[in-house]
Amino acid sequence: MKSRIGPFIIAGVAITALISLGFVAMNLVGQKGNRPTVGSQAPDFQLELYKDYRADLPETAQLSALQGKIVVINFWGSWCPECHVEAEALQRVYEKFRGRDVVFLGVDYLDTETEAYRYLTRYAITYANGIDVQQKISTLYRITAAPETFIVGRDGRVSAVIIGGTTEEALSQQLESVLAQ
Amino acid sequence: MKKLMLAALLTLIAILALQSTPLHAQGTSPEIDDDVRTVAKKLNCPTCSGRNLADCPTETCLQWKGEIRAQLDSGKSTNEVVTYFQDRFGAGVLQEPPKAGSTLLLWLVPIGAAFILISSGMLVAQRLSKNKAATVTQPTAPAADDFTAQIEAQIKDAL
Repeated sequence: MKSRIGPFIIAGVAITALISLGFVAMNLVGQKGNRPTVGSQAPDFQLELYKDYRADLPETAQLSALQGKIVVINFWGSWCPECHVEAEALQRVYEKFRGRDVVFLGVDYLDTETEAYRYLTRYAITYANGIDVQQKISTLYRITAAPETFIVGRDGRVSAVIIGGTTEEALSQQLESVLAQ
Repeated sequence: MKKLMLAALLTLIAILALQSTPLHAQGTSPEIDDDVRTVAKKLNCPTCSGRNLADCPTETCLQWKGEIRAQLDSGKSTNEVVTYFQDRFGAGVLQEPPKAGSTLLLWLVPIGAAFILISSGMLVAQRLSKNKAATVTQPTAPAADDFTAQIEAQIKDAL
């Protein structure tokens, strides 16, 4: 008798397990995965720039339209303490390299507009900054925390990935190295 | 068979356990007024997995609650404020994902899984009761295969 009911229980559990496994797999693929690595093509995106923070770029900046230039993509949030620490350094590096075909794009991550403007004003930031609408860009770049910075070379490939905060010296060195390539 | 069933059950439990994510922030949220709480209850903390915005004390959530207050003060309804957050941060911030598109699976999978388990349970119960009844009412049947083999052997001998 045991052998007659066994297959039904196993089938039920197996089907439920398969459905759950599929669900978990979908979750893992959708949310985690790998972030772009050095040498890989930088995922293209559109960034809606904040008013007064366009730095000669159109209202919506597109990464692929900047090919031929070096692009520094910095993910930040006004709620993130480490972003506050690196904010002034980023602005100084931007000022140092802006005349050398280097574009900075600040991607505001999980932030409210009020707090974002307060942050940008506080650190006198002048480079292009915009909101990551519906977390589309942070999903593309697999951002799990802020700050994170990507340097994209003239060929549109990722030249450097900085997880966590950076300093004026470190970022300058990395940019010099990418410029020399 | 028992070992196989146990393995299948353990696998299922392990898979389900994988889906629960630990909370990254702990503590209690500072007091917020009822209107803000009504909206915040409908939203998730964006940085702690599965935690309600209303109960989360992280810096991000404090800012979001401040934004809710500001928007309510500007005359927006609670639904309009929720829509603002959904438009800006995506459907993932909603405590209850919309019953449409890809998030429809979030609703269908648990219902489907429950349906399959209940159906399997009922089928098993039905089988068990049928077998019980058969054991009680049926007289002991002769072993059909043995009987046929005997007849066949006798026919062979006769020939």
